[in-house]
Amino acid sequence: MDLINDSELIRAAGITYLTPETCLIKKKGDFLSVSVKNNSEESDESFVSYDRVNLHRMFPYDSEYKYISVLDLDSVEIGIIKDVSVFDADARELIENELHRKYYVCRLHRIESILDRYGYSYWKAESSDGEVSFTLRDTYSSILKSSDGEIFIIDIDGNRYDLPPFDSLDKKSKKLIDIYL
Amino acid sequence: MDQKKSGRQPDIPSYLTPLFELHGVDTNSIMFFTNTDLTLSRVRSDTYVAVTEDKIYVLSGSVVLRGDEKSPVFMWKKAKERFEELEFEKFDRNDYSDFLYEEQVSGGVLIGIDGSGSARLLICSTNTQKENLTLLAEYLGGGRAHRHGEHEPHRGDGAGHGGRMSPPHDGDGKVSPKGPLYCPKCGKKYADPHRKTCLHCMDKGKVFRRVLTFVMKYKVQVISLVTCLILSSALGIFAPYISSGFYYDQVLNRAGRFYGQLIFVLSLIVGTKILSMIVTIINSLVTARMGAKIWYDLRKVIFESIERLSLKFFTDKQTGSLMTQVSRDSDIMFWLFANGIPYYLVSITQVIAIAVIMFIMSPKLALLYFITVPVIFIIMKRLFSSMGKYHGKRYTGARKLNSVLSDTISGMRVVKAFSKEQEGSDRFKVVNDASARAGKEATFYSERKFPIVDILMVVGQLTVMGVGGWMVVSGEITYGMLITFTAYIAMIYSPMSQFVRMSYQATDAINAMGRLVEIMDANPDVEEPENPVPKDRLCGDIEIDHVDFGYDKSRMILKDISFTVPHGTILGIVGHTGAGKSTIANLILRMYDVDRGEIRLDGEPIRELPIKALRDSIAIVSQETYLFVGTILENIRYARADATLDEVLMAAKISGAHDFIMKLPDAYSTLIGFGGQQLSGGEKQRLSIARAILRDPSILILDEATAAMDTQTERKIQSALEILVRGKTTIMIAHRLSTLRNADKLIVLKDGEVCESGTHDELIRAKGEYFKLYSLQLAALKNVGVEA
Repeated sequence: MDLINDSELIRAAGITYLTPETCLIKKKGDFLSVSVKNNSEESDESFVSYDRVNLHRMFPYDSEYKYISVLDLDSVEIGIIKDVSVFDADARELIENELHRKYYVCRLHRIESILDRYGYSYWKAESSDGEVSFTLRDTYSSILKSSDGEIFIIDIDGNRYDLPPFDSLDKKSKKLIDIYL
Repeated sequence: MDQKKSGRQPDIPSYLTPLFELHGVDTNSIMFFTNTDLTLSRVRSDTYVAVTEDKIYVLSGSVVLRGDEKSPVFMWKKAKERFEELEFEKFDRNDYSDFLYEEQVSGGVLIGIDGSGSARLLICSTNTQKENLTLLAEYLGGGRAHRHGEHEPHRGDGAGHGGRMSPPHDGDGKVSPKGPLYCPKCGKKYADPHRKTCLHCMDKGKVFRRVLTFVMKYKVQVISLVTCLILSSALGIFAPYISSGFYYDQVLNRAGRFYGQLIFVLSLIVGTKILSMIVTIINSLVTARMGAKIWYDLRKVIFESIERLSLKFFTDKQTGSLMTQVSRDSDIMFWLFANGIPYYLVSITQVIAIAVIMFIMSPKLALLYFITVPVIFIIMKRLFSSMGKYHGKRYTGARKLNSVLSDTISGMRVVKAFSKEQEGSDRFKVVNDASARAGKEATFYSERKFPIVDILMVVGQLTVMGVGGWMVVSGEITYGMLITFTAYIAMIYSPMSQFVRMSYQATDAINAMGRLVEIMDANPDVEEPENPVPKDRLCGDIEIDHVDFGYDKSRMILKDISFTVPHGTILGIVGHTGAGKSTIANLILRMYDVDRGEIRLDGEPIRELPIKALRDSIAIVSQETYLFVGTILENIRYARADATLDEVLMAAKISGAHDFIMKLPDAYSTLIGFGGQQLSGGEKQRLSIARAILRDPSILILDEATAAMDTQTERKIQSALEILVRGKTTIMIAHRLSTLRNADKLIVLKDGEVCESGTHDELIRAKGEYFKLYSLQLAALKNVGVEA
C-alpha cells in the first residue's frame, strides 16, 4: 500500500496543505494573517480568515522553509505549508520574516573560548552581531547537528545559535568544539 | 514416550546399580530415570527416581568420594564415587489414578491421586531440580504444572507431551548425576545456573587459543609491540652496565681499555638513552593504534554475538550484566593483549636475563642474593592475593553505593511524596560508610604489609653490598662490578612484582575470554531455517494449531491453543492479566518457538519461513513502547528508514501524535530518550502506532495499543485505526472490551486456554466468561457515567 496515494488514509489523516491556490497570506499589523479556501459545506463563505497566525517549523534543523505548520492562536493547526518557495515573492517574504522573528538565531562565525566549570560550559564566540557569550548546561543535548552538517547550539536560556558545518570552521574553533560533537 | 523407547538407555550412575538391585529393582526394566534434591522428609540429599512399568522407586542419600581427599595419593588416582543411602521408598503406579506436579514457593512436589481421590505426596524437590519433577509428572501421564495457592489443578490428557524425557543435558551432551546444574566432570555446582560452564574444568588453553586466533588478525602489530618491548628491556639492562660497571672499570680506571675516553662513553650513554626513548615512543604508538583497533573489534564481536541471540537470552536473569559484559570484558581483554601478554613475556625475559648476567658476573653474590628472592616472591604472591580480596570488597562497596544512589535519585518523586528524605539519607549513610570502610581497609592493608617487601629488598641489597664490599676489598671483584650488580638488584623487583600481579589479573581475563567464546558459540533458540520457504512478504493467513508454550518449561503459559485468523480479518483476544494474550503475539513474531504444536502463516510453518520476511510482514503496537535516543523523526522512521517526510507526517497525523509533536519547540526534530524530552505513556504509544502505520504490514498486532490513552484520545484515533486495519490481518488484544466490538471473531483466554470463541453477539448470547467480563466493565463504566 502506498501511504501517500491512499485517499482514504489522507482523509483520515486530515492533512490540509496550504498552497498559493488554497490560501492567501497577508500582513495585519505586525503579524501574519491567513485566509484559507473553505471546503466546508456548512458555510457559504469561500474563504475563512484567521487574523493572526503562528508559524512553526516541523523539522527546524533540516528544513528551514519547508513543512511549516500554520497554527491559530489556540495552537490548532490550520494547515501545512509544504514549500514556501511556491508562493509569490511578497508572501514568501512575509513568511520568511515571520519565521526569522520566531526562530531568532544568532549566527556564529568562530568560537573564541570554551570553559568547562562545575557542569556548566561558558562559551565566547564571534557572531554576526559581534562578540557573544553564553552558557550551556548539558553539552550533550545542547549541541545538535542538522542533516547538512550545520551545528545548532541551545543555551541555558533556550536561545539558539548556529555554526557553519564543522569542516568549514577555522582551526581554533574546530579544536575547541571537536570534543563536544 | 519413555527414555528406553526414545532409543536411549536411561543414564544410571554405576554406583547406584548395586543399591537398586539390593532393593530388588531390575535396572534393565527402568524406563525413566531422573533425580531431585530433597527427600520426602524435606532433607537435602541426592535423590534418584527410577520408574518401571508398574513401580516408582525413590532412593535418597548422598554421593561421596571414596578415599581421603587430602591424601597426596588421591591427587594422582581418579576418585571413585560411592552412594550412602538415607531413604528408600517404593510406590505402586497402579495405586494412583493420576499424578500431578504442584509448584511450591521454593520447589515442587509430585502428588499421586489414589483411588479414593486423596492426594499423596510422592517426591519433593527444590526449585533447582523442579524441571526434572515436571518431566517426571509428564511421563507418568498428566502432570501439568499449577502454581502454589491455585485450587483445582489442571489435569493433562494423560498422554504426555513427548518432550525431553531425561534431565536437560549440558553442551557436551553429558549430565551430572547430581543434575543439570552441576558439572558432570568435577561435580561442582555451576557458578551461574544460566551459564553451564564450570570454571574449574574449563579448558583454559582451548579458550585462549580460540581468542588468540582472533588476535592474530593483528599479528604484525603484536610482533612489533613485543619486539619494541624486548628492545626496550634489552636497552634497559644494557644501560646500567655502561653507566656504572663499564664507566668505573674501563673508563675511570687506569687499567681500563677505554681509560680517559670520556666523550666516547658519554656519547654511548646518551645514544643508549635516545635509542631507548625512540623505542618507547614507537612502542606507545603501536600500542595506541593496535589498542584502539582491538577494542573496537572486540566490542563489535561481543555486541554482534549478543544481538544474534534470541529474545529468551535477553529476558533471562543473566542479561542484567550484558552491558557490563560488553564494556568490561572488552576492557579486560584489551588489557590482556595490549598490556598483559606483552609485558608478561617481557617480565619473564627480563628476570631471566638479569639473573643470567648476575650469575655470570659473580655466581657467589648472585646465589647469596637469590636466596631472598623466593621469600619475596612468596610474600608478594600472598600480599596480592589478600589485596585482591580487599579490592573485591571495595568494588562491592562501590557497586552497592551506586545502586542505592541511582535507586534513590530515580525514585526521588516517590521519596519526596512519602517524606522519606531522612530514611533515604540513612540508607545512603549505611552503604557510604561500608564503602569508605572498605577503601580504608584496603589502603591500611597495603600501607601496613607492603613495607615488609621493601624491608626484605633492603636486607637483600645490604647483604650483597656487605659481602660484595668485602669481595671488592679482597680484590675478588671490581668496584664497578659491585655497582652494576646493585643496579641490577634494583631492576629485578619491578618485573617480578609485575609478574605476580599479572597472574591474578589473568584469571579475570580468562574468565572474560570464556564468556566471549561462549557467546560466540551460542546457538540462538530461534534459528533461521536451513532451507527457508522463499517468501518476501506474507499475505497474513494465521493458523495456530494445538500450541503449548511456557517461558519456564515447568509452567506452561499457553495450553493447547488453536485458532485461525483468515487474511484481512480481525481477531480480538480477551482475558485477564497473565492469561497469555501477549505471549501469542510473541509467538507469531517468532520471538520464541512453541513447545508443542505449530503456527502457520499463509499455510507454511513459521519455523520454515525466513525470519526477516516474517517480521517485515508484521507490525506490533504493544503496551510498552521503546523509544531510542534520537529525534522524534528518527524514532518514527525506525519502522521504515526510507519513509518520506510526507509519509512520516501522515503516520503521525493518523496516530494522533502530530498534535503533541507540534506543541514541542523543535517539533519533529525534538530529541527524545536519554537526556532529551520526556514523553508520557500515551504520547509514546501514539509514536508506536505511527511506526506501525509507516511499516504498512500484512499482519498488525495491537497489544493494548490504546491502553495508555484517555477515552477521548482513544476515540479520536479509533476511526483512524479502523482504516488502518482494513485489508490487513489484525490481532487486537485489549482489556477494554468496547474496543473489540468490530472484531470478526473473539477468543477468550483463561489460564492459558481458549475457553470461548465467537463474535461479540454470539459470546454475549452464550452468557459465558466474555459476558461476565463485559457486564463487569459495563457496570464499572456506568458507575463513572461513561457509556461503553
